[in-house]
Amino acid sequence: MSAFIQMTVANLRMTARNRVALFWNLAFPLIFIVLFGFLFSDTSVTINVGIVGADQSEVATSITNAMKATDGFKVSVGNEQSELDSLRNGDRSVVVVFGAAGSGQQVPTDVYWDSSNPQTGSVALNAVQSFLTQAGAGPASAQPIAVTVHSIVSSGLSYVDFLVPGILAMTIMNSGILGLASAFVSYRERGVLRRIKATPFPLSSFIAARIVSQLVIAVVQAVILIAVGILVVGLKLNGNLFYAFILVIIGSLAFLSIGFVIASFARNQEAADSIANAVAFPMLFMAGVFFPTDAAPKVLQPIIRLLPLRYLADGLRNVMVKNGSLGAQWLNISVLVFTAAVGFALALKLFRWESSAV
Amino acid sequence: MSQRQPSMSGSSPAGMTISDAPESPAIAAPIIDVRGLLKRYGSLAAVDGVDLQVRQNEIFGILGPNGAGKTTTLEMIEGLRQPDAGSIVVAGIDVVADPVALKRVIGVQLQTTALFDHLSARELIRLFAALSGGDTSSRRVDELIALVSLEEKAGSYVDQLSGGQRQRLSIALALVNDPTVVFLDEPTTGLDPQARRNLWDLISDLRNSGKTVVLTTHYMEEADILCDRVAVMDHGQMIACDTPLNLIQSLDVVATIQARLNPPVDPETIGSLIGALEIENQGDQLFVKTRDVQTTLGAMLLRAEELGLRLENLTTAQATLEDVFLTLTGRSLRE
Repeated sequence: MSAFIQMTVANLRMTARNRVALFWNLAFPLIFIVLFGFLFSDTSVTINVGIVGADQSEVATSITNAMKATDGFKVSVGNEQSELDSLRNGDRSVVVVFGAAGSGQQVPTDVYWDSSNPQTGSVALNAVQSFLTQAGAGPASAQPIAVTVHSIVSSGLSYVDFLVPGILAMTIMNSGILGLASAFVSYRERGVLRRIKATPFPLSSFIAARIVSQLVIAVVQAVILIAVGILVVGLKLNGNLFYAFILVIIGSLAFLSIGFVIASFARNQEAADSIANAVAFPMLFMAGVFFPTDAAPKVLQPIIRLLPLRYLADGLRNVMVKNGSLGAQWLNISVLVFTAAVGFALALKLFRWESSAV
Repeated sequence: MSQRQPSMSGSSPAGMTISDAPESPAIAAPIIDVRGLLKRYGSLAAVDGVDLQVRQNEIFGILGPNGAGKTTTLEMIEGLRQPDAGSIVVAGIDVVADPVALKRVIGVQLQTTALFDHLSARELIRLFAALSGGDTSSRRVDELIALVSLEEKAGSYVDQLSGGQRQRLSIALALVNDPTVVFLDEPTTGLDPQARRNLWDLISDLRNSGKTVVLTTHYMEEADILCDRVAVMDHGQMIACDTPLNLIQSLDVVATIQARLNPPVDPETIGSLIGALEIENQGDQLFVKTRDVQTTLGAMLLRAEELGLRLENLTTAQATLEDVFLTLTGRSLRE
């Protein structure tokens, strides 16, 4: 047991001291979070307003036109059903529904805002409310409109909420596939594995120590990425972090197993790096790390459904920011567990101590 | 370096050196007993029916050119490769049947000294001590660092060590489990002469502290100076095995006497010399081959006196294992 702990600690030490590994494991995902987090941050001045019933009354029409003419509002006019749907999926911050009113009567006005996104939502609500109040304060003594405010919980997340779990999934994939395959093949090429073979320490323990240290690294990565997400770019956790760590570990095992498979048949380190990149790169862009997979063309959808990264990103998003239960992630978890099982079985079958037969 | 106190356990026959090493093969049972060892790669027999017996507490060298099968032989004895045929018993353990038990009692230095990056020499020694089931205490780790004279580099990563320091570190790693037999695969290849001599001292100390050392080399002077007994390998076969002295004595010619003649004369003028097997000259240089340097040299000096010749730059060169190899194979070791 002491040997196992020593080997695990040595792995962790080597990773912590390896600047290249530190860059790919931490700096690279952090750059993505901060860069994309600010690039697509929701603090932009434009507020998406949906207006329903703009032609219901003279007052409504004039308010709508006035809002359209104002910088800072992006006005869409539509029917109540579609506008509220847009609010629910996060495309609108506020929806204003003007009702019908007889002449001389106040126009009943319902304002819906997205309370799941309190910062943007309340800014948008305040802006629209003050606009409505000003617009209503016409020459007539009586207020022409009567405002009622409704809050709605949208399923639409802010981009940061979407991005951080995705980047976390990407990071786990990278250190699983790229980090492991490259390191293991280099150990084999340079004869480190043979030196291990010359000790009584069993191969299975050597691999297990590697896996345990990778899992520790994955959890540390998750803690740091989530912390930076919250503190720097305003990630709003809405879910169970414990579930998130369970998914981090299951996902890590799945990608480590892929890394082991690549390490088993790659002839040398360059080959391992190329294969690992060829596996990881398409996943990075197709599995919904940066953008929702719904946005991808239909022809790609069947391929996307085969990518393990999609299931990890999806699961992490559900449990981190959508308050999803672990049980509801059964599909995501099953795919990842299946990947890990097949991967490790294959890797053990293909394992080689040495680069060449001679 | 030779005055360094052996710090290994099991100190025994400290006075055992090359000169008084047992000459008789009929002493205690060999610690390594290899019979009919065979390893094929495709149609090539890399190791072709090798028998060898290594005695306890000797430095046993396997000498041969690159590709002779030295490393393959060594790695089969170390339990790193499966032989296609043959039996290997090391310290009473059947290597093919129980490689794990073997690895507890042997120490191994591989030809490639690649180790984990980003770990210091001290951390590597402790890690390998743990992996080999050895003593991981700081006291023992310090002892090993001192044994291989790496005190000043104990905190350095492998890539900050020189070639000689790396070799010494990998020897320390071969000693972490206090092994009975230490295997060193070309330990001095690529080292400068000073580093090589330091390593020879270290290896002699291992033997003097009671361990058995098996090493491969393609340097004949290394085998000559360091090894108690030498096996000569070529084309996967063991072509000779004895003490360096006996191997050289088995040659017809043991030494060559060389001198510049002033004034130059033909060999016919000199005539025959007692004990001389062959006399020839190249320009003004005279070469006399003999089995008995003292007698032939005496006769040569007398003859020069009689003929009024001066023998300038007089040297005698002993035959070496290089000559043994040349005689046995018709090729030079360096070809």
